Amino acid sequence: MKSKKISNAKRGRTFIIIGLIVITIIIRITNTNSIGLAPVESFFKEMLYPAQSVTSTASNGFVSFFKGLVDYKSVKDENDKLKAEIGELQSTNSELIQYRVENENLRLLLGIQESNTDLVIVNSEVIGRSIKDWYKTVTINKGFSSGIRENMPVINYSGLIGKVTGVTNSTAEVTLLTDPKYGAITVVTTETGYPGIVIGDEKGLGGLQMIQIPSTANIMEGYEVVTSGLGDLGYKNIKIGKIKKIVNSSDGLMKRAIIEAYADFDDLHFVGVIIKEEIILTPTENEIK
Amino acid sequence: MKIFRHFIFFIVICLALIIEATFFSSLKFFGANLNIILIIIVSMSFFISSRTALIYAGVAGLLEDIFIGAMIGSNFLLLIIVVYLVRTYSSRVIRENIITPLIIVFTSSITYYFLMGAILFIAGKGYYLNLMYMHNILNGSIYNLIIALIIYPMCYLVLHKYKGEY
Repeated sequence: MKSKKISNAKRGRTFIIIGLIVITIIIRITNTNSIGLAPVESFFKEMLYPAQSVTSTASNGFVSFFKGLVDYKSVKDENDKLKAEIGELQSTNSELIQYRVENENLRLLLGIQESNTDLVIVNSEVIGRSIKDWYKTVTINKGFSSGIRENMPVINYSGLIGKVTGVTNSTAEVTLLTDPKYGAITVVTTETGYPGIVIGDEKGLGGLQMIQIPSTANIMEGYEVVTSGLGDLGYKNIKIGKIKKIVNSSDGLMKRAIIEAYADFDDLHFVGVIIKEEIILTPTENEIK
Repeated sequence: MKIFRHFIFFIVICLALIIEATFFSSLKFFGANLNIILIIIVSMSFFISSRTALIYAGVAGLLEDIFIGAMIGSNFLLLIIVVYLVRTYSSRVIRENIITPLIIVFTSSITYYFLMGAILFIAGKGYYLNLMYMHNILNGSIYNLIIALIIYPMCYLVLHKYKGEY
């Protein structure tokens, strides 16, 4: 009985020693600097992959759930912060778009100034519009102190838009071409130099028309209409628009041309007032009084 | 305290004019502008005494005339007439029910346009009475009605507690 116990103990020790030797040999064999997996490693990894994948997904979700619960406040704070940042960025983006439009308008106005060096143009911003439908006027942020006086023509990058009809020290009221109060503008067509007069649409719909044209006049659709320099305005070749349609009168003697204005009178932001060169930009105290 | 209320009224009218000339002038309703002063004055007239309503209408009209800078006195006269008519014919209006005051704002707007048309014609500015003006009688009145849905409840909230002492 005793000898059997000794034999079992001996066998156990032998197994342990052999096991240690085998593990040592495996460690030695796998502890190399070679790249790649041994066939056994590869097989083992492949075998474990599905289970590993499922476990990993499940554990990630599990961990995330609890981590999320723990970090809820910090996540919420971060979310609020990000929302605020997005709001600020959207606001900044809107401002930048607005600046871009303003910049583009001013650049175009500057272009007119550069190509007409004989003109002195005061650039200004539209700060208000008429509060009554029937008046077609806008208010600009430059006035007497900038050299602006009544009856000066007002343009934007598209062409003529109106004239100054009221001035304060720092603002001016501009009556648009479409206002019946504006009266008539003397014009010529660019293509044929045919003279005529342009007034606002009698229906008050914001359009322009060239009137009292003899039926034999050499005027066609698509002709460009510019100022002739005659009359109150005194400046030639300021663009107004293109002839969109020609309408014959019922008696067949006269016709009128419907003009599509280059300027969008409902969307004016920056305008230029053509001031006469002899006007002193800085008014004297007596002038202000 | 009353002077303070008058001052607040003056500030409100000035702000209304600025908003009308800037924000709402770009926000037209089928080509029609909003007449925010008319809405405020008509809405207020339900909650204040006839005398105060007429004085406020006159002051607001005068401020509007000065702001426009043309035909000074026209809005002064018209707002007083409109408020007088509102006060005369709307004594039985239930102020808590928004429908009737809104109908009165709408009819006041139409009345305002017709009377302004008459003044323009008498003043030799008949050329303003074109097709657009005719269209805007309806469009402008509808626009006023829509915005009155916001302004009238605000007037109600602010002024109904002062009823009888204003």
